[in-house]
Parts: sequence; C-alpha cells; structure tokens
Amino acid sequence: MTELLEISDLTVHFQNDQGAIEAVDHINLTIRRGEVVGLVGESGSGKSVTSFAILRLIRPPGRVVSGSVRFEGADLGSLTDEEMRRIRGAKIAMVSQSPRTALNPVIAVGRQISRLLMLHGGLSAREAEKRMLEMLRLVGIPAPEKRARQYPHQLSGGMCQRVMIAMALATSPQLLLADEPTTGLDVSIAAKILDLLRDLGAKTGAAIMFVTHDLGVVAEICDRVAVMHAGQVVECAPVRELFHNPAHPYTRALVRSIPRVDRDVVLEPIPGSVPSLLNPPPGCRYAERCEWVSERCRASRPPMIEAAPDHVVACYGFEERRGAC
Amino acid sequence: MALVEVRDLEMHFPLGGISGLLARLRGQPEPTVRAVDSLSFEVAHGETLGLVGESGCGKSTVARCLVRLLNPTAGSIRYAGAEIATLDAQALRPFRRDIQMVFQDPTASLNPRLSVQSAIQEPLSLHADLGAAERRARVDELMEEVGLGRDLRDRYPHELSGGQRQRVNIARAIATNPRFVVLDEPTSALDVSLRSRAILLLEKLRDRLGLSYLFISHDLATVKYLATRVAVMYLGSIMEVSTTSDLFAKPLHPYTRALLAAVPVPDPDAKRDDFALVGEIPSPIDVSPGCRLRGRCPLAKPVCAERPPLREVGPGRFVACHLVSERVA
Repeated sequence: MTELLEISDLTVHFQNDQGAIEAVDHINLTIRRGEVVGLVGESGSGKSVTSFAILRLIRPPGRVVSGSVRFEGADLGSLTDEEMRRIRGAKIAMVSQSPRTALNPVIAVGRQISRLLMLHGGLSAREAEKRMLEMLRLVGIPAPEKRARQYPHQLSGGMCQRVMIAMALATSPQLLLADEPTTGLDVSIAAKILDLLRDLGAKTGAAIMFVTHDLGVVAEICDRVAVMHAGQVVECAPVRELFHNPAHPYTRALVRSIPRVDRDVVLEPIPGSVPSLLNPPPGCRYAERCEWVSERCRASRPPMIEAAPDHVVACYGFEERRGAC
Repeated sequence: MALVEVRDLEMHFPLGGISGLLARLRGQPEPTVRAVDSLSFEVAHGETLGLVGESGCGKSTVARCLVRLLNPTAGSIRYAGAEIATLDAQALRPFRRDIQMVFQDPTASLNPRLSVQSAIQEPLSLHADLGAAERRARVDELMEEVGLGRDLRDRYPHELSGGQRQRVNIARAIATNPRFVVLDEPTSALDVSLRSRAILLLEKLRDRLGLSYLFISHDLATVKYLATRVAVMYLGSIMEVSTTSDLFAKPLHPYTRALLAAVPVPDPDAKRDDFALVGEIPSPIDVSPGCRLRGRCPLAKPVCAERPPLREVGPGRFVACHLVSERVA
C-alpha cells in the first residue's frame, strides 16, 4: 500500500539579493495513515516551511527547487491549481499557531465553518449548518448554537483554537498539519487541545503532522518524530526510541537543554546558534555546534543511515561510534 | 526580616466605558476588575520566589505594583522594612535603584533609538553619580557579565537577536546594583536553546551578585529550576505557597495539582495524573464569593461556598483550600 504522504528530496529556497536561503534542504519524510508524526526543531529549522510546501503554499521569493510531495500516491507538484484547491482544506487541512489571526475577524465563526463545508463538501446551507454545530460540539465548545454566532474576538484563545480544529476536521481530511497549535496557550488549555487532537485523530483516522519545538508535547502525542536542524532532517525515529536512544548529537543536546518538571536536571544549553542558511557550507550544518565533529563532517553531508529498525540518522559521528562498540 | 513583604495587596481597575458611566449616574459603585485581591507574600534575602499561574491571573499586575508602575488600590509593600506602596515619585527614587524589573518582551522593552551602550548607560546616568569614563567602564563590565561581546556596543536593538536583546535588558536591570529584581516571564519569548542559556545567566547573576528574584512565569519547568519557593496564583489570589521541592513532589491545592498535571513531560513513558479542571478561567469582574476555584474544581464540596483563607498546613506550606487537612505535609 502506498504511504499517505511521501516527501522525497524536498528543497525550498528563498531568493534574496545576496543569494539563496536554503530553508529546507533535501528532506525525506513519510507519514503513514492514522499516525501522528512530530516535526521538531528550533525556530528557523524549516518546520513551518515544510508544511507550507506540502500544501504548495510557497510563494516567491520562495521556490521549491527540487523534490516531490506525493499524497495518496499522486504527485502534488503536478496537479493544476484547481485540483490542488480541492485537496487543500478538504484532504489536507491545517491548524496554525495563532488561531485568532487565522480566523476571519469579520465573519461569525460558525459561518466560517459552514462556508467551508458548502465549498468543499458540497452541502446545502442547512446541512452545512447542522454539520457545523456537530463539529463545534465534537471539539468541546459549550453552547455551540450561541458560540457559532460569535466573532473570533469574543472567544478566548483556547476556544479559537478549538474552532480552528473543528474547521480543519469538518471535511474529514486524511492529513492534518498542526503547526504549533498549542504554543501561546496556557498549560491547562494546551493539555486539553492535545487530548482533543489525539482523540479526534483516533476517531476520524486522520494522520497528523505535528510541528512543535516542545519535546514534552512530542512525548505526549507523537508516534514518530523527525528532528529538524537548519533545514535538514537529522534524525527520524519512533517516539520511545527517540527519547531512549537518541542517535544524533543534536537530538541528545536538545533533550539535555530543557528544564523539566518530572526530575531535577543539570541544564546544558546547546552550544552555538542555528547557522545562517544563506549559502551554507556543504557539510553537516550541525558541525560547528557538534561535540563529535570531525573533518569529514565539514567536507560532505552525512547520508541517512539506519540506526535501528525504523530509526534513521544523518551523522558520521554516530556511524563511527557505533562501529566501535 | 524578609527583604520584600507584601501584605493584603489589592489592585482594582475601574471598568469605565458605558457600564461604568451608567453605574456612576445611578449612584452605584462602578464595576471593577479585581486583578489582585488581598495578596500576601514575602521574599527573603537571596531567595527566588516563583510566581506561577495562567494568563489573566494577575501575575504581571503584581509585578507592576512591586516596582510601582501601578499604584496599588490598597495594601502594603515593604522593602527592607520601609513602606513603598504609597510613596510619591520623588520619595520613591532611592528605591528605584534597588528594585529593578525585566519584562517579557525583549524587543518592546528596549528603546529602538538607543544603542546597546546607551541603553545600558541610561540607568547609570539616572541613578549613579559616575563620570563619563567610569560609566563607560561599568557598561563594559555589565556587558561582560551578561555575556554580550564588546563588538555589540554600538548596535541597535533591531540588529540583535532575541536572546541578545534580553541580555541587554538584564544588563540594564542589574546596572544599578539592585538587590531585588522582578522578572516577568523573562524567558518566554526565547527559543529553546536560548532559553536555557538565559536561565543559566539569571542563576549565575543571582548567586554572584546576591540578588533576590520574584520570578514570574507560566513555564513550570523553568520555575522548578530557578525558584527556591513557589506561590501559585489564580484569579488574583494565592492558592498555595510552598518550597519548590515540596510543591512539585506533592501539590496540595487542586489548582496546583491540575496545573502540574497539564504540563507535558518529555518522556513517552511518563505516568500522567489525569486530574483536570472543568472549563476555563472565569472573568475577574464578578468573582463569586466562596472559593475562586469552585465551579471548576472536581472536588468541590458545599463548604467551598465560603472563601477558604490561606492557612499553614505544614512548615512553610500554605494552602487556601478547605479540603486539605492540617499537617498533611
């Protein structure tokens, strides 16, 4: 069976007068039906650009330089704009970080959802209204009839995010791109949104690509995790494997750099900063921050190798150390 | 004696607008937002008190009252024994040197037209009697202290990264050798890798310079790392105060328990406490009598219709909840 989403060799550049900013660099990522895949990394690691590229929303000066995105076997790059529009919002939906700016401020939230259902689902106004109320109830909005008539500024941030999720799932998409959906929300609200996404994913069978920088959220919700650094996927593994046997030095550093509530830790910040993506050097982009760096890392980019079943990593240092033990 | 002592602090904001006008015309009391409601706590010398709670609970209002950016409606704030809640601007000046603040948004809190050097120099020219050369030397010292390279001296805020901007703010705050620094979510706007560096910097400065902090944050993991004691706030009041280790080992107040249970733990095998509150934080305009958490608390009993006082249930451990029995700690 074909995978739900297959990103192969995707590269996205943003051109400016000094050259190309290589925001996403030859990444490969597969999402299977019904699974939750985390995409983790610091700001500027290319997480959001990747989700925009999946939806073909990269606009000049951005450009998809190479690679393909296949969804249910079809190459999204070869579709016409009209065909892509029928996929966007219907089969692949997105929940963004700032629900208040993603919602239209001058249209009541209920109408925003029912319009989408009429457009993508071909429902009549009455059917759309009914389904809209069902969706609002499903995401746990109390008194949906009343809330549906309200505008985004009358709802709290958590409520707006629920509306966004209701909207994203209204058309029963196969894939939900969730771009930091809990960042900026209070912990207790964020926890409820996470529970909601997990339950709805299980109920509707939708796969979720979860973009986040929060390892706690990853541990809580993801089945598999891809770690991104400076536009490259450096490691990809099932969630337990990633936390118990992280292979890439960046992943290890990331785990050590956060304070935790569940145990006392010695904080070790990741050395250096994310390198400039403007005409970056050819080798591993983590080389300047890495504890395992060698000449080879600066000269060429390490290929993805298998560290364990379903666990891949791009690191020469790991390869050498594994041979030693 | 504690360095900072806050007793029964209240900060109410009149609602204004049409409803305020109507109330005034009718001769009724004007509706107010009770952002901070009879709040008391202490910060000892060299101590870091963490103040946690969700947005809208009044954390930042407390911070602004402490540095007297707001004039509290009632209550007392004592700094080293002296009452500062009611002082006028002139009388407050000597205290400004001792009490400083770092704000959440590192960009908005810097003047875009001041270079790094002038920004750090500003508090010195206001509060210290130094010559030009001494000031310059002190700026160098401060930049070194917070880990800013000398080459950044003439840069402007827009040329700096978020982490560097927050370092400038921290340098400004410690420029006058304060003893007490209010940190209002100083790491929230920073990226993961920068956040841990900022935390370590604050820890180093506290230990080297003997500072006391009021560390305000909604990030419980950071609070656990930095704070010696923690006060948990909800709807303008303190629900629980405890040493950090006790609080995280065994939260007593249902609100604290729900807050801790909601923090995602970076361990896929972690056991989760499913304890959660119902609904969302209510408006602080019409706070119902009785326990503030009533309506949302799954454990609520009839007794909760009466407002529980903050009482000591163990050594150094205070909880405002009827359902927590004495000597549990």
